[in-house]
Amino acid sequence: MFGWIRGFAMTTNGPLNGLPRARFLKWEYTPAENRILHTFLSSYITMAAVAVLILLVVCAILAPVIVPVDPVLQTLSARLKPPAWMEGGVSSYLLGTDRLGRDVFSNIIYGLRISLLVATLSVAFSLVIGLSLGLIAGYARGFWESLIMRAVDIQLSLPLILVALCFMAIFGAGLYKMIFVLAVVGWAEYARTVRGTVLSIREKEYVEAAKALGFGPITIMFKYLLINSITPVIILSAVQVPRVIILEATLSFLGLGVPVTTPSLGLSIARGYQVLFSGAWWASVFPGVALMFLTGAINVIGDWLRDALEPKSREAAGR
Amino acid sequence: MLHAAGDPVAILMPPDATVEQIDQMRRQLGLDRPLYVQYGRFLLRAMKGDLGVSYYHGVPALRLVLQRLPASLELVVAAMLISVILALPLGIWAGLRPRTLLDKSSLLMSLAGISAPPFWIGIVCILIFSVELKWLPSSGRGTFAHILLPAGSLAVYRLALFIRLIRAGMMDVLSQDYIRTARAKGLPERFVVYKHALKNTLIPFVTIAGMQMGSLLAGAIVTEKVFAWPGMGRLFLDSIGKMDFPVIIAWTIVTAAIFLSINTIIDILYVWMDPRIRHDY
Repeated sequence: MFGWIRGFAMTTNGPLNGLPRARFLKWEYTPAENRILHTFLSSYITMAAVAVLILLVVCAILAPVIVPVDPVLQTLSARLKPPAWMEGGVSSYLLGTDRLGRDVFSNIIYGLRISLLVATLSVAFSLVIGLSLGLIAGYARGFWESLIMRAVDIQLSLPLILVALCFMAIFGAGLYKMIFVLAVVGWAEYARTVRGTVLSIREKEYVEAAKALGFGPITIMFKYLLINSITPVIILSAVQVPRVIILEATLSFLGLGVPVTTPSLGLSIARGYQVLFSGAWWASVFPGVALMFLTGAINVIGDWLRDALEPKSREAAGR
Repeated sequence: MLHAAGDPVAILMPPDATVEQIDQMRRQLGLDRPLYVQYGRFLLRAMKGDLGVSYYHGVPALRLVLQRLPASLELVVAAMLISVILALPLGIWAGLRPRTLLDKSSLLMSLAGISAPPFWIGIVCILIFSVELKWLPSSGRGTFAHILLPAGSLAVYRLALFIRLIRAGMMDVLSQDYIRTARAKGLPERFVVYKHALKNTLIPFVTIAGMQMGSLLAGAIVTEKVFAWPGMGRLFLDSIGKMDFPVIIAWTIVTAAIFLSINTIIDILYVWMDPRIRHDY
């Protein structure tokens, strides 16, 4: 189906790549676009991952429309019902019910909502914090750089889960507390990456030229340093989002994440864990499968983005 | 901090305790004093190595934590062994034959291992090996069979990570000039792969494996909870539930000390393995 695009993309990948040439066809791509498109179309697993991610995000957004049963509704007459296709299953509970008669399928869909909400918000916050501090550290150098980078070193020497666990133990469970804590523990990687990028381009001629022309530090930071940091930041975000999703689930599983009344995948698995030995495997297995598909899809997309946007890393990895 | 999460006395005392009993308990634990007095006392005692007595267990908190340390270390070391022993052959194998079916399937498996939440892997392991097959016990510590499930499920993530790492490292090293030289010299392929390529692959691997030691210890907290493993992590989680602050503090200090020593050992190992770094010091 995409053969014509792919075939065309191949032609621009020839020995003339990178050299200025006549755009003889109007839909010719730049080498970067071409690489992104080419690697995307040549990998079925990436396409599948994008499809899975879109499906899950759409389900999460449309949750109130597609969910058959209220996720927090407890129906004590329908406790521990197996999935619909098994013996004793009821068609209204597609993936069965938990110990208190809550619908597993509805909890998964609403849980995806919480996962995506927590992940996007906290990653966005840590991105803003890390990006600003990284820019400052790379541009200002000297005292501020050492201060920020020592903080980064300390933060990175401890596993995220450990820090998050301690914070949540002090503050107690809560959705917004958790978004805050996850944002605070995630900033260091961004700061380190952005500083590295800034260091590598701050001595470039065009930055020097901008300085000589009298542009202020704010303009230089935003116009040159920030723009060049976008690619590594996107790649890092594709790693951070699944990490935060799993962290949220883990904290909620331990009872230190979202409040027990919030539908969350981690909490669903924790409830399923309580009935593990009564044979009700569906209450813990299905929420985990949903989590795995969500993080797996983002991981695949992240790998592809890294290969496509940073060809050097692909060569280094031999792919 | 002590007042942020609630009142430990309210949890310790039975619901029918009188006001006098509650006050007495609070005095006994020193929780009636102002916060700065509590903090000052804590610092003075901590310098002498006394981190306080557990509110709940009534024994010194540090001793309580250290008693649980061997169980946690056992779990972490077993998980590390499992992941390294399995990852080395699989990673080398995949790295030597990129783009083959085996390479692709090992990558796909490692993707699943990286994407699945570790505690859920533990639950699935219990379901398969304890509930369905009834091969292995699902909780507790004691015999060799007890450690297989918790260590195995803790190892899955590292295993997946290590396979990817060794594979990428092997492929990188094998394309280097000195490998071509070694082959041109007519060295047997086995010698090239295991002596020249593997050695150079292992240098970055040791650093990352060492850093994973720390994150294994952190990950073990959740695994200990799932498998009711009597380690430090479970003590910590239980203490959070009971607001047993001396134990929480003792756990934090012991964990920080372990992390410091792990990081130091990695640095030393790294210099020992790669003499080029020594010039920086």
